[in-house]
Amino acid sequence: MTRVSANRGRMARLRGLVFNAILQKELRSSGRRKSTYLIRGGYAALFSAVTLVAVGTLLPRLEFESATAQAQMLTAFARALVLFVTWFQFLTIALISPAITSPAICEEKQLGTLSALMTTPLSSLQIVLGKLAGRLYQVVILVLISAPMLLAVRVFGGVPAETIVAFTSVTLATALLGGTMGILFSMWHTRAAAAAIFALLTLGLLFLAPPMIYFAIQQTNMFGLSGVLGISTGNVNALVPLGIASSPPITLAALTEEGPTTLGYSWIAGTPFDRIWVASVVILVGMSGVLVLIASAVLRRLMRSEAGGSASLDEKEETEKRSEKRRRRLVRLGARPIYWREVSRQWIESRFQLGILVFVLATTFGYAYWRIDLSEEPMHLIMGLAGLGVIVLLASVQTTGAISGERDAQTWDVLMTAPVSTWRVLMDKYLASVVRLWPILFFVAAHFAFSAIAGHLSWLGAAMVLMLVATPPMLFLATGLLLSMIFRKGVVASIANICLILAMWGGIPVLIVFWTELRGQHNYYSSDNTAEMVLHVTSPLGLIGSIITDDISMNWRTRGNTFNLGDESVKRPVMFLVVAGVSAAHLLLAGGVLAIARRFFVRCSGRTS
Amino acid sequence: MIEIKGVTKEFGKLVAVDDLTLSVGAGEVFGFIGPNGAGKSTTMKILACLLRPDTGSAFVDGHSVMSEGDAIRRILGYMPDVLGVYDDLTVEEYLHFFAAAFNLPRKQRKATIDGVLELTDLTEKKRSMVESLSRGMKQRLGVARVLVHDPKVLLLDEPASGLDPRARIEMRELLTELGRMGKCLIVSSHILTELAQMCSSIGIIERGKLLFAGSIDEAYRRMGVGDRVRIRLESADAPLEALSKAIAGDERTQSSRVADGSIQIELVPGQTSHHFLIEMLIARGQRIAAFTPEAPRLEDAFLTLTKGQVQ
Repeated sequence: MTRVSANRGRMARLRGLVFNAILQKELRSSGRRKSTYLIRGGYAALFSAVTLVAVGTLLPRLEFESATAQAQMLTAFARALVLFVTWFQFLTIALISPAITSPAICEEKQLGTLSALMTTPLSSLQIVLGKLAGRLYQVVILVLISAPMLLAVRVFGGVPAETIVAFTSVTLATALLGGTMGILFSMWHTRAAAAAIFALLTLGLLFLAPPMIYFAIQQTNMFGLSGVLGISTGNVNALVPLGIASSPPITLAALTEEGPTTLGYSWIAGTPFDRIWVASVVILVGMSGVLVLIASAVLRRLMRSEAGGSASLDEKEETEKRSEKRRRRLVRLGARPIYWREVSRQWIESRFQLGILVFVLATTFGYAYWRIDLSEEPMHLIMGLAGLGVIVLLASVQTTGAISGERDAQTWDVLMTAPVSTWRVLMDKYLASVVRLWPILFFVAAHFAFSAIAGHLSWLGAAMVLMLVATPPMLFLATGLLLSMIFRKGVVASIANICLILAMWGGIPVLIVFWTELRGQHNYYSSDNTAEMVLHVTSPLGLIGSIITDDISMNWRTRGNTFNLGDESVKRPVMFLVVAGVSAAHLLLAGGVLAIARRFFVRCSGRTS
Repeated sequence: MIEIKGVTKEFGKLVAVDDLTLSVGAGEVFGFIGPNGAGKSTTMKILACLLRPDTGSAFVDGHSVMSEGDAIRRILGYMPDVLGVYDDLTVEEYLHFFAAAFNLPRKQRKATIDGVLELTDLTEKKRSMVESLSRGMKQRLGVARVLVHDPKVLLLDEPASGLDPRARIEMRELLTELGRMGKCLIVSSHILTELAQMCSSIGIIERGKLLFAGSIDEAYRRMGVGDRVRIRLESADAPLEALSKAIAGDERTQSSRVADGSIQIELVPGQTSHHFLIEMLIARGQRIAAFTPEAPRLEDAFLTLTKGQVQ
């Protein structure tokens, strides 16, 4: 009897870790926000639209095929659709989950409610788990939205149920890891956007770590260090399945290519854990658990320092130390205070974090430059594509808190009573965000300039890549600013902006391909020039890949004069015109969005005139 | 300086401000009194060009809030009830930020900021981070901020809320000084005794309706609130009830009652001389041990006028 009641008590305590007042509060407040339903509705509408267009394009063509061909086409269609949806879902969720959880503690700090939480009997672990569960609940709903459609498509065959379960499980586990990362970084930052960016970058590094480690070990073997370190080629190869399992995108890539494969370790053979995707889920959940424990320890420290007063002795000393730096900073405040304030805000709030970041970047890039042959594509592709990815990612969350952040901090009304014009507020916030991106742009530019000087790339190729890397962020900074006015919560604006990027770079090209098919102009499964060209033009990623690959492997070495655009071979001036057109389109769109934002500003600012 | 004519503002079904008409002159310190949710902050936001009224018009120094926002912003300083400050700046940087936002010439900024810091007693905190300031100091920083561009009109929403007694007295002195400097001040507060001490006129608002606007004396007169006098007699055997009845019969008194061994008298509004009471008591052979006049209280006028209803 006593044991039963003790067990019950233990269970109640365990339940209380997650199902506590924090979770209830998070669910209530998200349930009252219109944006919650807007995001869910938008997500469902997007998937439904893709499915309907896809089905709509396929059905007319089935009429002219034999029964066997029809079955084969349906199977291929089901597989293509499921893969598109699951990959799109994975990318969206991986990007959204840290963005959703990153304001969790930042908001508490900003509103000064952390001290109120301290007076409750809730432990820091309960607070972290409650916040995490409350916010990830939204992500789970988003993942479940697509489940009926994925299962319905299975009617056509071609996609084993295990693949869908595997994709969904890995996506959810990734969301858990991303969400935990967001919570952890929100403790170290006062701005949710900064926390989200660092969480996303760390997540990216974690995903890249297994292949990099594998590559590093292989290099070690090549240098004959295997004997010293006791690592043989056989050992390295045995670790490959585990490496695949510890990086969700690689796990999903393996699932896409080969379906659910086993790890191949004898000690777990025959158990459910002998699956790469299961191992991936276990690893991700395990990592999340460790991060939750770290987060709760950090929160405990944070609460203790909050209890010590807003101005501890250390802070005061620090303030004195910084006063000279601040005096110099003040000199730069000219006639544009909003720009000055935005530029002078610190993204990395401690030297420790800055140190870690510099170390990681210096080690990674130092090693890469040392080992990778610059006359081959990989390093240039990494710099071009990853550079664009990182800059766009930063741009997507940088301006989304520009207006809503002021509202949250209750500084908006005060600012609006100053005689600063609408355009100045917008442009200063926008330009300051552009300036913040400058270091990364400069880094990418330095790489391509060096490559052009060293003769690995043509000057034109380098210039085209830089144009494509530099212009899309301008558009997404502008959309972020507009969304920041539309949505009261910065996190919702960030999610909407990320979805916009995914829709532009993934959704629109896919819809165009489907649309082309609907008009019966091309065969969906054959290579399609128009569609491929459209894909290249709407997504700078494809264009950058083409330029670098062609410039190095074909044109530059052989002093050729053409680039591949889809299946077409185009001359350099044409390619330049295409790139210039894409860049100009991004800039024009950015200008248009800013003009809309200006009109919208009058409505949202509350100013009467 | 400030003219509000028939302004109404609704938020859905809630009428925050209902056909409000008000006029405040230059050099006037106007106390805006009302229960929570009465419409004080909404009125101030309309004047600060932060809310568009549904009907009616409002002017600040002759400029319409509907069409001349830029002109108004240059001459107006608004301190909201919930003071949001940029926590990551120092006090000096915060004020420099707003000096630049109000287009103060660069050369003037330092002297102006030093001046307002001196006025608000924040000079020593100049290099402290805003987040490290106490609530009272943040309130003073809010006042310093609205003074940076030397506005003609100041709208201060609950400037003394959360301040300790000393800080409240200092804030009161500061606002009185600003009034003396010829600025037009609209101050809302729940601490009515302080408003009574520093305001030249008041407005009482409830459920969006302006119930009264005018000088404090006029408020007392209109609400029937007069001076009070408490008299204690030397003799323990004095016929207090009979004396109280006699005093109550005088046309200059409003009421008289015996409480705590003394006679408590309320004079008719506007009756400020009390000597007739002494004469009456002496004429009846009484010796006065204590004679304590009490000024009328704004709270009484407020309670008389309002019903304590909230929306």
